[in-house]
Amino acid sequence: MPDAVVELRSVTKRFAGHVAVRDLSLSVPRGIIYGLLGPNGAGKTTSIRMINDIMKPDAGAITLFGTLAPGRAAQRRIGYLPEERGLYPKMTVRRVLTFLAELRGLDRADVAPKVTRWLERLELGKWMDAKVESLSKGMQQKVQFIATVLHEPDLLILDEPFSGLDPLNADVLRDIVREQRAAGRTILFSTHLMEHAEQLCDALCILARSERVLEGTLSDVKTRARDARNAYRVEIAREGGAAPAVLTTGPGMVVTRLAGLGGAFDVELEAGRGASELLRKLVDAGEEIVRFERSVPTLHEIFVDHVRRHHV
Amino acid sequence: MSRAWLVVARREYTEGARSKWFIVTCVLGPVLFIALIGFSAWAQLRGGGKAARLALVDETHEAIGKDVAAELEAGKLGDRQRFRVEVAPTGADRAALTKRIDAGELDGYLVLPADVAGGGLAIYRGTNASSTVDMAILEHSLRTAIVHARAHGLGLDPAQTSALLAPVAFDARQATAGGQEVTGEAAFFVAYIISFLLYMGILLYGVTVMRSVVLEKSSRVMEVVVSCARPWDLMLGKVVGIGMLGLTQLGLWTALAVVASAFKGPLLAHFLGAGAASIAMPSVGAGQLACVVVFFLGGYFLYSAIFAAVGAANDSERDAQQAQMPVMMVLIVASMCFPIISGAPRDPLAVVLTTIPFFSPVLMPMRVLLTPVPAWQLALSLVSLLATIALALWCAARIFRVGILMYGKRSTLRELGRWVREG
Repeated sequence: MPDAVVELRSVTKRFAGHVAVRDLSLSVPRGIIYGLLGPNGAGKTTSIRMINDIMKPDAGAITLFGTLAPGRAAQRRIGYLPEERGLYPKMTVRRVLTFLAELRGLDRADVAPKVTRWLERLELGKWMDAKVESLSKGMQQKVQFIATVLHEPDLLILDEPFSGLDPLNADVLRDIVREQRAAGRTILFSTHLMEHAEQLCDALCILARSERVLEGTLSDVKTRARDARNAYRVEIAREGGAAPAVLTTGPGMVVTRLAGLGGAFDVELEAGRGASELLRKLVDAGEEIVRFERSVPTLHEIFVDHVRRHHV
Repeated sequence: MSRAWLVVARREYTEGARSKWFIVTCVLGPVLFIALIGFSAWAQLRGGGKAARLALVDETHEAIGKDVAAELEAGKLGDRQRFRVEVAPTGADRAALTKRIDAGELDGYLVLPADVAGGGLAIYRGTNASSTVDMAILEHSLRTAIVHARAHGLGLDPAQTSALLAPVAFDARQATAGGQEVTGEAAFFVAYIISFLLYMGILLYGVTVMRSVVLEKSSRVMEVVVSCARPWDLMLGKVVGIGMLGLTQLGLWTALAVVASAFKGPLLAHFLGAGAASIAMPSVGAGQLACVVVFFLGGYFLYSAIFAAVGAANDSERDAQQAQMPVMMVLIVASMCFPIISGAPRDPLAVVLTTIPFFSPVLMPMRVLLTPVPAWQLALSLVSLLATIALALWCAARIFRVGILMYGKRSTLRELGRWVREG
C-alpha cells in the first residue's frame, strides 16, 4: 500500500527465552484510526516500541511515512503515549510540556502559546505553574496526552490510552482522537478493551500469542464474521420470558436470549438451513415479528472467537 | 532546532539549580567547611582544658625534680598552664598514688629514679598520657632539666649551657612548579583541600547523575523521553548538565574563597593567633589550575558514566545505592592514597598511582600542586584517563540503552555483560 503511514513486514522480536512478536506484518493507511488489539502479553507494546525505535526488531522491516526507518527523523513526526507513563514530579506542568516539545525539535518560543491553548482546552489552565506531583492522577494523564499532541505529529501512537481514565475523561480523549483524525492525522492505538475499539477504529489488527490472527477494516472484519455465521437476530412482540417453543424445539437451531432486549434472540442455524425456513416457522407459530435481520457479531465476540481459536 | 542532548542538559541544569538541595549546599557548603576547620583548630588549641595535677616523686640526689617542676609549671599552651606539680615524698608508694588517680584527686605521677641523669628510666603514669600536647611539654621539661643537670656535672656554667642549647635556625619550604617557594604546611594544606574537594565533587555529582536516571525510571517518564531522544543523547545530556551544575557550585565556592583570601591576614590571625597572619599561602599557577580542572572533568565524566549505568540497571533508589558501593569503594581507595602522594610526590609508586585512570582524577592534581611533574607522565596519565573514559562511556551507553526499560528485577553482573555485548 503506497500511502501506508506504518508498515511492518515480517517483523520478529525475541527476548531471552521467548518470542514477543512473530512474523508480524501490518499496514496502517493514512488518516484513519487503527486499533492494535490483543490480550495482555500478545506483543502489542513490543510492536509499538519497535515502531518508536525504542527497540530494534531481530528480523523484518519497518517503514514509516512511506520512506523512513524508525529513528530520529520519524520520531519527530510521531506523538507517543506509552502504557507506562509518568512525568517529572518536581517540574511544573508548563516546564515539563516545554521540555518534551523541545526534545521533539520545537522552538521554545513556538511552544508557549500551544501549551496555554491545550491546557485551557483540557481545563488545566490554572494548573500551568503547579508542580506535576500536586496534580491528581487524571489530570496528570491529561498533561501526558497534551505532551503527545503538542508538536502536531502526523502519527499518534497511543498504548492503552484509556486505562485509568474515568468515563468523563475517556469521552474527552475519544473526542480529541476523532478530531485528530478529522485533521488528517493517523492514529495507531492499542487496547484490550473491545468497546473502545469498536467505537473508534476504522481498521484493526488482532494479535494473540505474538502473532497476527486478523487484520482489516472494521466493516470488513464484521462482514466477514457475519458471513461466517448462519445467524439471525429475531425480535418478537412478547413480554420477556422464555424463547417461543418454535425456536427451541425445531431441529438445527441454537438460540441465545439477548440480555436486556425483552423479546430479542440470536438464532444460529446449522449449515444448509436458510432465513426463509426460520421466518416461515415463526409466522406459522403465530409470533408477531418486530424485527428480523442477519446477526452481526460484536467486536468483542469476534475477538474472543479468534483468540480462543488461536489458542487451541 | 536544538540538539536533543543540549535540551536534556539544559533541563538537568535549570531543574537542578532550582532544587532546594542545590541552594542549600551552595550556601551551607562553605559555612560547614569553615565551621569544620574552625572547630578542629579550636579543639586542638583548647587541649585538655584544666591543668593536670601531677605528683612528682624525686629519687635523685641532685634534686633534678625541682628543675623539672619549674619547667613543667612554665609549660603553657596558648596562655594556659598545663601542669600543676605537687612534690611527693621520696619513696612514696606508687600503688597509693594510683589510688589517688582513681579517686580523681590526681591526674598523674612522675617518678624520677636516682640515676635518671645517667640514663635511668623516668616513669609517668597518668590519665592524660594520650594528649600529644601534654606529653610534648612533659618530655621537653624532663629533657631540659636533665640536660642542665648533665651539663652541670660536666662542669659547665649556666651561660655555657644556654649557649649549647640555643635553637637552630631552620627554614623548610616546598619547591613547587615554577620555582615558587612556600612553607611545607601551606603546600600540603592547599593540595589536600583541593584533592579532597575533587573527590567530593566527583562523588557527589556522579551520584546525582545516578539518582537522576533512577528517578526517570521510577517515575516512568523514561519511555516518553527515549521515544524522542536517543539513549546516548539522554545520557550525555545528563552528564553534561549535572557537570555544569557541579562547576557552577565549585565556581561559586572558589569565588567565596577568593573573597575570603582578600581578608586572609585578619582571618588567620583571628583563628590561629597573631603569628599566623603572615603565613604565605601558595598561589596556584595557571598551568596547575588547568591541570586540576582537566582532571576533575575527566574524573567526573568517567565516574558519572559508570554511575549512569548503575542507575539504568536499577529501578529503585535503594537498589541503586547498594549497587553503587563498589564504584564508591574505588574512589575511597583513591582518597586513601593521598598520604602516599603527599609523602613522596616523585616516588615511582606515586607515578604509578597517578597513571591509573580510576585514581588519577584525584591524585594527579595533588601531585601537580606539590611538585613539577614531567610532561610525559602528565601525557601518559591523561591518555590513559581519556581512553578509559571512552571505554566507560561506550559500555555505559549500552547498559543504559537496555537497562532504562527494564523493571522489576535487579540485574546481575553477568546480565550487564550481556547488555554490553548485545546492546
